Amino acid sequence: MQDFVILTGIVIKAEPIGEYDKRIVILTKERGKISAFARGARRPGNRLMAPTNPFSFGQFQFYATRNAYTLSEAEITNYFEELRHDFKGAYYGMYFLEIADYYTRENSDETAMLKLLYQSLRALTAQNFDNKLVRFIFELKAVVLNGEFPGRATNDTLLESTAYTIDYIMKTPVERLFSFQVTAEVLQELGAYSRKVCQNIMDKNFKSLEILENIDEFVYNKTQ
Amino acid sequence: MHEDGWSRFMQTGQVYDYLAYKGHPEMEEAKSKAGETHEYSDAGFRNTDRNCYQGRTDWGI
Repeated sequence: MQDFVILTGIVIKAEPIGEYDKRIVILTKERGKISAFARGARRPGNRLMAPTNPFSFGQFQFYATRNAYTLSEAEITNYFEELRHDFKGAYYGMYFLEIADYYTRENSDETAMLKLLYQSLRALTAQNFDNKLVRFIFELKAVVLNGEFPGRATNDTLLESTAYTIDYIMKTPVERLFSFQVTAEVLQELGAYSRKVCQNIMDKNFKSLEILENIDEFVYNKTQ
Repeated sequence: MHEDGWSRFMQTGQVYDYLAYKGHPEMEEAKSKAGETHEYSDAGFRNTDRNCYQGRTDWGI
């Protein structure tokens, strides 16, 4: 008899396998990051086609064999459809998925990271939030959650507001994280600080970030 | 297909795939050149393992 498991999570990666199947990677609340096969998910009209796209958040039912999961049903509560109409938002979202993929492991408690990812994607779809601010909050909080944040150095020459913002990001629970705005000056300084921290800690180049930065550079040059 | 376009963009992360998904007029010509599109299928985020295995099988034949 096959054992079914129902897990809550978000699809962070999907790639084609065989002629009609997909292999997906899901960040789950219960079992950390797992990979699973979705048979027939690339067949037109298949019920697993939409739920196996990245950003799909909801409950997934799998049957687990000894060395793999196979997706059988999915009940999606949020597809983050808004990102499909927001070109840059989609890249920010992809970047968050890449960081989540980089930081998470199988069979470890990734509830905090899942919450952070979900709330950050929600913030990306909200009109009143600057995507750059969402990015810097996500980057710093991801580093904090994974226990790699070195703490603010005493000799950092930051504006008082920037230092307060960094402390706020460090100490505030994820649920209340996206509840503030900053001035352009603080945002710029926060960005420089976040980049410095990420470059020191993360030993990987994220492709979506590279594209994002190229787009920003292109837009900046066009407006000059 | 609409859904396929988004999936493709999510796999490759390429700007022109997004434009194709959105049905951008300037992408119409590129979309019709199926051969050219496939040349780029390994770009970006796509895992190429499957193609490597396929290659090995072909050499065996």
